[in-house]
Amino acid sequence: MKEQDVSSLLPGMRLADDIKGASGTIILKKGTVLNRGIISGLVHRGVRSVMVETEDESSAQDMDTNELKDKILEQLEILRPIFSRSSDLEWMKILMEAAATARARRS
Amino acid sequence: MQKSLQAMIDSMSDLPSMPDILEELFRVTSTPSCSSKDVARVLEKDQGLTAKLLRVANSPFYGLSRKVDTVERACTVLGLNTVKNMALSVSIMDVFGSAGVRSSIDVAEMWRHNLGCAVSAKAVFETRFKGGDDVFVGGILHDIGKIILDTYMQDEYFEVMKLHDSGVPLLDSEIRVLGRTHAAVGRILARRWRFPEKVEAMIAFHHRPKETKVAMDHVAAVHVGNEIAKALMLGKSNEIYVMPIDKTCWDMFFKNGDNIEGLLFKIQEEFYQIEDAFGLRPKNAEV
Repeated sequence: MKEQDVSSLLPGMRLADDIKGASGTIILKKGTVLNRGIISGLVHRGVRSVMVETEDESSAQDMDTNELKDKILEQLEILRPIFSRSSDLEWMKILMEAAATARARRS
Repeated sequence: MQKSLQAMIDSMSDLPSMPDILEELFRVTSTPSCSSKDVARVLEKDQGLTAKLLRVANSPFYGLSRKVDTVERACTVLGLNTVKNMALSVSIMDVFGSAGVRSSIDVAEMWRHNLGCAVSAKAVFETRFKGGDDVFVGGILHDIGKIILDTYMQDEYFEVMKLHDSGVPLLDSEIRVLGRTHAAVGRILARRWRFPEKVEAMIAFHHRPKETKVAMDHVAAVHVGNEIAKALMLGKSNEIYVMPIDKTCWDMFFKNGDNIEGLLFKIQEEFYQIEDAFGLRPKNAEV
């Protein structure tokens, strides 16, 4: 991670640490991906600099997201046969996809 | 040839009788003046049961900030109804916990499925209503008929499982071979042991929720929770397929845009937290 001046923040950068307000409550969570609205909010609050992930760290995160997608597909393959008598129903399809995601997040 | 229901009950004459301790527990808790002390006095007669109860009460599932070390304390902290239901679940798992000699099902995995259904049904119920303890016990017991059939009618149930393995859904297989389902058989035990009416309804109607005359919300939660447990593959019901959930029941608990994935993730985590306390984690499982 690196410290970055708020004036040089770019949309798409990811926070490497929580940002806390004066009272200590968390305003923005570690891992939040910045957009223009968030950046101008930080400027507005008078925040000077924040910790952001380096490009290498960010691409590792993206890989995690891709890995999760792969795992969800893998779980769907496992679940499809046991859902063969119900997945033509719209709400059962929702259940199957939610179960695949929940199982992928655990694996 | 299919047996009549009476012949079926007769052939199960060696069905275990209700444990004395449960009989006493039901009697004590049915009086309005029942206190934590009264419940503790009954349950603490059985040390094995007490130890198991406290292990469940102290599992992360119940999220107690301090450990409880007596039944009385557990009643005060968790409530009489929760402890009563916990005792019912634990003692029935004791009575029916082990498989018959020529079992056609994996009884340990079956109990894991029952626990998975209990956790799912309680979570589903609590999306709309308060107090899912009765639903939890309904989840634990919903498939008790399968365990009874597998133990007391082994030859017939072997035929059922053979048919099911060829691709026929389990309920259809049961009806073809036995003329009735595990739900109807479970109801026989529920009546013989004088289970509370709601529990009997959850056992008898978990596959046909619209037919119940009592506790529709409870029955619907077990109906939905049963399929969720199968979808998350928590234990193994001996039904291969996730069967269609009745749309009316689904709509009772979920609407468009609900975070179902989040609920399922929570159910899954809770299940893995509590299975240890029930002594159900498979020995070779990763920790």
